[in-house]
Amino acid sequence: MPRERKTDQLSSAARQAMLACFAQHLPASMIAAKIKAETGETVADRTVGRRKSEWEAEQQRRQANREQMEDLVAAARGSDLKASEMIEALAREALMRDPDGFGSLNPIDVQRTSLQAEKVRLAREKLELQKRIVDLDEAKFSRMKQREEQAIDATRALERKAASGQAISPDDLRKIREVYGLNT
Amino acid sequence: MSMLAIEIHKQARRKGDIIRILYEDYTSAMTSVGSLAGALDMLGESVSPDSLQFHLVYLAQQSYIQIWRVRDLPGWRRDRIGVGPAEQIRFAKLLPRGLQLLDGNCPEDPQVKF
Repeated sequence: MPRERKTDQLSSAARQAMLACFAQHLPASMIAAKIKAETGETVADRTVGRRKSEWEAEQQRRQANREQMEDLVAAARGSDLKASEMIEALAREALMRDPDGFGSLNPIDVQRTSLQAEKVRLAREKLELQKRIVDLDEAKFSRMKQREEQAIDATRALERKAASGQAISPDDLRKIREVYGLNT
Repeated sequence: MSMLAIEIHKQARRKGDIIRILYEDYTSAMTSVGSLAGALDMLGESVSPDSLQFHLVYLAQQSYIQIWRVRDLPGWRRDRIGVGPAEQIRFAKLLPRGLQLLDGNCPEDPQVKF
């Protein structure tokens, strides 16, 4: 159970006044004086100062988390799959903490986010497909080049044979057919 | 059984619980450490944030799981103090070796008990 703090004993009007002063970044002594003037309640400057530090730390934490989430969403929109997966994991964590949370969300926003994740997935699949096509083309080109070199070698061998007065044998023809992949 | 042996066994069971929970979420790309802590709570096995981080580091070093730290978040900046320490583990994912350990298809690890 959280420890009760001095400021918890203040009336709700005094607490509201204190929070409004925090937002205006007033010094602790001025806040204490304002509470006294508005509600007649007394609170020590040091107590107000401690609450002010806690409030500012909490605001800073919220702001940092908001900015980090904005960067994550921007990365996900920029097709960063890892960012999409992190957002998904964080959404599941939020749902675990607050199972009714989705009830308060705008269904259009939820759908937009899932469509975005789907788009990222499709883009990744398209990239992988393109990579496979390039790999296949490279393999095809390499095979063609190899066949061309074999054809040149076979032609040279035949030229040498013809130049020496020898006849072209059925075996020579078989080799040529083999080079062009015509043997069945 | 001595108190130390009991404590060692307890810590090994915690690591086993973590692997089990990550196994349940195996089809997801990753699980947030917050969800993991919540799931441990639901099992009645509350673990302090420091202990959880310690167990996750061990499991990652043994290649049972993959981890992502706060600094791995896209767009992370050191000056955003509220997001958490850079080294803090934020997400985890069970790896095939962790799955094999759970299924008994790889040598037993005395540091992990199921």
